[in-house]
Amino acid sequence: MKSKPLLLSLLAIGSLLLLSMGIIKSNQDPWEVPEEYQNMKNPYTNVEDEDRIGRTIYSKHCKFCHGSKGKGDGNQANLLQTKVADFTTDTFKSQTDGSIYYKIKTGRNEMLSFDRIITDEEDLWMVVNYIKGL
Amino acid sequence: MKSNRSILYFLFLLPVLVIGQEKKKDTVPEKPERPAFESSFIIDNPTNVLFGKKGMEMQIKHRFGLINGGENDLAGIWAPANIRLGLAYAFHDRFTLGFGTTKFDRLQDFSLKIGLFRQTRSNKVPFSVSYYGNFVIDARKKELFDNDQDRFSFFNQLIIARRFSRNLSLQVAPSISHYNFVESGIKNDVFGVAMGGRYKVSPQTSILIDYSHPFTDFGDGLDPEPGLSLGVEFATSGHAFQLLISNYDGIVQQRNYVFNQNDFFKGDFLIGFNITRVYKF
Repeated sequence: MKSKPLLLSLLAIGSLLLLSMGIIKSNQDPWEVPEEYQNMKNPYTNVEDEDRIGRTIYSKHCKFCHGSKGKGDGNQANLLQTKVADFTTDTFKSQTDGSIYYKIKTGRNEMLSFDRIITDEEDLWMVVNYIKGL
Repeated sequence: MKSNRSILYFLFLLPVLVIGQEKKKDTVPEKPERPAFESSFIIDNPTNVLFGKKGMEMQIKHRFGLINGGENDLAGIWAPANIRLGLAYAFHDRFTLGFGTTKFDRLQDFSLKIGLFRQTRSNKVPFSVSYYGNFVIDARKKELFDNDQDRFSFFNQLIIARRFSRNLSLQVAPSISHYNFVESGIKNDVFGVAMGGRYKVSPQTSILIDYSHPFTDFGDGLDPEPGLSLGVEFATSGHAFQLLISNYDGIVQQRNYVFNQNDFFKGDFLIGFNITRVYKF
């Protein structure tokens, strides 16, 4: 009988611990982008993506974490330790195209490197264009 | 028989001839078209898809029992199933080697795929051509075979594919299946043609169709039935999931082309799925 309060306390502490694991997410450290990439010109700025390559690649590779609207609320976002970037914020959009290109290409920590996955440079720029339009 | 053998020699020689021509063409840079399909198979037949160098694909193929095959078997789901587990590794952007093991007849397959032509975005080359071949060993008990060579079978296929638009891709694939040993009344070589297509209904979802027609005349009611497979494909970052119905239960191509007796339109079809996962090293 005496063990009941102890059991309840342990259950409460365990639940809180589990909840805290889901809630606490580390904010992203500043992501240093080499100057050459910051100043890189997007050769496809005014190119219409007739084949919807940007959208297709985003759906396949990015949507699970970043969400269908780019708000960082994808199905997998809750499973990550790091807060997923919201592409719709002014802070994100103020970056140069080259900086976004670099981040997709190289990745870091939980963000995958897509260097070997999106091998066509044009396709990668189409994703940059699509993300900036979200 | 003689004409079949000539076609077989032609199919073997073609990769060498075409690679020789390709070297000359390389001096003119031409951007390849994007892949026509998501994975290396369109249900039962190989596609022209090759991974980049050092890419590896894991393949899981599963075929439940026939829907009309028995009683109390939940449309074949509780019936004996055929399964193939395979791996394919790209040693070069145009050259992939693979191995797979299949439950029915304990078939062990070693395969080779070579990209011969690639469709270009400018349409200078209007379609892709790839070669797929395999060598299969039947690993059942030795009492079933007089000679070790009787275990061997071969499959050679040319895959001519075109990506018509972002949504529609089609392929035609003539093939020769060869068994070293067959029962009397069945021919050793069967010429077949497969036609397949993919139509994307969303960035990640496609409708698939694959039809395989063997051209042969065994007589005595032994002629193989054509294969018809319909499916839905879901593609993610590294996976392609194909959920399908098909009258082919053999999984290994030559077994289907030579021995299939299931008639799709008489209800002899089954539920199955293919899962592929690509790793890039």
